[in-house]
Amino acid sequence: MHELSLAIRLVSLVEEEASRAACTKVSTVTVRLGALSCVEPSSLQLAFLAARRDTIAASAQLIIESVPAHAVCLSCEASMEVTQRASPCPICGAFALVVSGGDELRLSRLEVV
Amino acid sequence: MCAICGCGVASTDGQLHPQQAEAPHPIGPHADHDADSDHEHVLSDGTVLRHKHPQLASPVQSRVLDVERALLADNDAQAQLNRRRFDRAKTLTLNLMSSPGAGKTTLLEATLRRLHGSLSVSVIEGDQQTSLDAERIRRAGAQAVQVNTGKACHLDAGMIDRALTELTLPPGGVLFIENVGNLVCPASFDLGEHQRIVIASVTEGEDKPLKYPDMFARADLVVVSKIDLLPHLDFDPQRFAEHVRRVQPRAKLLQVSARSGEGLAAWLDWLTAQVRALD
Repeated sequence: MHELSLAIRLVSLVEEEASRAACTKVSTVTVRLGALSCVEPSSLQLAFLAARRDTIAASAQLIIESVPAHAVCLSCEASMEVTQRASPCPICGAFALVVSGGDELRLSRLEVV
Repeated sequence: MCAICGCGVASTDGQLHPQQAEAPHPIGPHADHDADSDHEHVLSDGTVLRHKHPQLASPVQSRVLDVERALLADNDAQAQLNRRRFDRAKTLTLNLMSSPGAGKTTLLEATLRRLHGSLSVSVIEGDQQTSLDAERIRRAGAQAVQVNTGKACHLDAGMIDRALTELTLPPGGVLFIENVGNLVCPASFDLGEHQRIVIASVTEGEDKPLKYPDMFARADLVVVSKIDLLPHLDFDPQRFAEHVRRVQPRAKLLQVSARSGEGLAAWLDWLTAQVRALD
């Protein structure tokens, strides 16, 4: 999707939080990324390298935690976690999964000095 | 430095730690206790060493800030404001998305012609450049605002907010937001719409829902367009419908041809039902 604009937004959130906490350096930035969000983790990593330049997060490492989505099968009513769209129900094989969540995209925590 | 835990001060019950070499702590300094508290190490021969860290020279302590902030929070908040505005005006708002050339504007023109003014319609047209689409809509008899996204490949909630300053929301009518032709990016941006419509033309093939699942997964209605071309193509509407269901089993499907008029009655019925449901 828009990994660069998201990375820029991410770094500005990091700067806000870091200045509120009066710290001098950010060493890690952890984001929670839904498995079904339209964001490519490797592109986000690359964009983060550009966006962090000349900021308090200039040497920060980006940690991406993947969050699975939940799904309920309309056919057998099983509920499960899914990490991909358009997949069949692992229990009954029907392509009838109603998926919820998995699209989150949030700055979760910072490790600061 | 303590060779076992790496702490800055090496005194154990008044004695030095057994080794003075600067060895790194196996699990990082002070991972299991406060830096300045008393603690002990049990050596392999059973000897217990107790010591204090009155002050740390290094390393500098880091701390963790729990933040939990959504990256798209600004867009989502603006989308909520937009939605409240649409609700207050009782204007059904539909976000129309498709690849470029699937026939969004043509469907809107045909819709306006068929409605004969029986439903009041406004349109926000999103394109990178030009106001060609807004002009087409105005010629077809509706109020239209063109939003040029420049280099951006999608509309966001803020652009809709700005467009609304140039547009009246028709009470009891419909606001169509024609998104930028793109099957990827617009899927991530809530505009405050009531429903999402994805249009796929028969010339695009049956596999579009599988290739671009994020877009179809968020659709309330999928409209198959240009069905007058079916006799010339291998497109199998049943297979397409099956692919939509794999991604979004609850999406409703309609088939239309703006050119021949086939399926437009069912489309207008759907539209009217949505307007009534909002009341």
